[in-house]
Amino acid sequence: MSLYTPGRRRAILLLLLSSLLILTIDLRGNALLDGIRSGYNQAMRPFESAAEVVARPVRNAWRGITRYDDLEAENQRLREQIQAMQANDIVARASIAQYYELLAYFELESPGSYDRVVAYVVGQTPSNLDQVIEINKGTNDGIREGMAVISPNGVVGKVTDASSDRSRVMLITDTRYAVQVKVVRPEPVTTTTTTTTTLPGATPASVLDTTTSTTVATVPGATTTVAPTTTLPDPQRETGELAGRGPGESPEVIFVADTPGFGLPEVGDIVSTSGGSLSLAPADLPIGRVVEVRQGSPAQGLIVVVEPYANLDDLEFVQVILYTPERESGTNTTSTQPD
Amino acid sequence: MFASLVQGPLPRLVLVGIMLVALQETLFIDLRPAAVTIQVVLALAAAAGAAAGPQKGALAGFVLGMMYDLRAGSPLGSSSLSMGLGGFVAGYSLSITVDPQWWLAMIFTGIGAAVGETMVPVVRSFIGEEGHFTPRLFTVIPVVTVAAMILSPLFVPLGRWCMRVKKVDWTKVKAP
Repeated sequence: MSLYTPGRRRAILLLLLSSLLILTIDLRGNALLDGIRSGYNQAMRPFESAAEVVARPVRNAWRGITRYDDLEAENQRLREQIQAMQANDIVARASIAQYYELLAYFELESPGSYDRVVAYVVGQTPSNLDQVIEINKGTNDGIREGMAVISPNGVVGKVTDASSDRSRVMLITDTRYAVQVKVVRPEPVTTTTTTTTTLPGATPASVLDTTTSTTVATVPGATTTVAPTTTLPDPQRETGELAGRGPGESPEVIFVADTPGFGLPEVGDIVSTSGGSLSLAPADLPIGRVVEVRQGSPAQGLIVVVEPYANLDDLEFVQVILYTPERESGTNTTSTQPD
Repeated sequence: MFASLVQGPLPRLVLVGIMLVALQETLFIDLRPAAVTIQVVLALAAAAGAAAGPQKGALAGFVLGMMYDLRAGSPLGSSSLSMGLGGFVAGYSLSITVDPQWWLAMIFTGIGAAVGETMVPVVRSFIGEEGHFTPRLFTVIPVVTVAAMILSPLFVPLGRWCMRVKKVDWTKVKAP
């Protein structure tokens, strides 16, 4: 049996060239291929539903075997977290109320002022390279490509593909992900035992004055709160571009701007979106905290390794922020562009 | 032309491919030994090559890769290239033997799957994506290879059926 007859060689060459041709057309963007992809995904739904039914018992058995210890440890960790969070709850509520008062007073926008769509994670990419999940909301709910996706802890990623009732979300750990960020230095502010009474009709300006020295609990009535040491973000900051590095690797901030007034970023600094007129993510969405700072090559400059706040391995529900900057309204962006 | 299309391997391949892509998207995103997703679609492409030779292996890889790309959202054609090469290499390995035993077909399938999975970051690099060559590949490729080898006793006959290849019974072949 000859493996290399001219006919066979031609057939294999044809397949190779066809793949390259389709790849080139797809990368340049083609409405026909997008339509085929969308139709194929719709056609696959019933098969995936059937496969889901078959897979569920197997999956549960597998999870029971492989994740029992993890679940026990996670359960314990969550109990401890709840206790710690309950201690901070009162102070946090007061700070949030005060924050929104100030935002309203100065007519500023905040991440909380944008509409959001809560979505359920229905799948993830089968690839070992990509970090993409699929959610059960799409353009029917106002979702557009490029919109930021968050979890209760912080930024998860961005929408890269939206059909009528499904969307794909590229996680911040994907190597194609990039977003403009700022690195903010939190400075510890020692709080004292405070007694604050919010009088009806008190102006926000008077509240502003008090924040310079203490954290104020604006609980109605005479309330005494013993507050733990907390931190407030300092306005000084560095800016750069956060880029994913693939599964199991923490994202990095590159192209860090050199701002002498700020000094070098340090472990523990907070990384959040920087926003801007071109950014598809509004400002001040928390992403994570700095866990390592190292000097790259002269071309790279400083590299800041970030530990995301969001647990990307165990996402069930996410929120899509329906934010579109004015300059981007009505236009689409490619998935590889920083947003 | 239509008859040759219907009587060719394509309908069976597409049918089996749809089911495997559905399983890949549901069951196998959770069954992740060592945090690696087992690539069942690639395993079938390699098994088809090990069962039917390089040309049909490349064809199976091309079709299955296209179906995979359409669903996974990866650049269309990138998996066709990697799976096509995986199927081709698995089929090319057949040249060392006339009638491979099951364990030999298992090895050929593993080789094809390893080559296919290795080609994924290579192809992605060619189209401008960066950061795929990480030490994690040293975990991903062996796991995908071993999984394909384990699945091969099931997938080689399935690949043979898909590609409409009959297993030769050498005991019934008459001498010229």
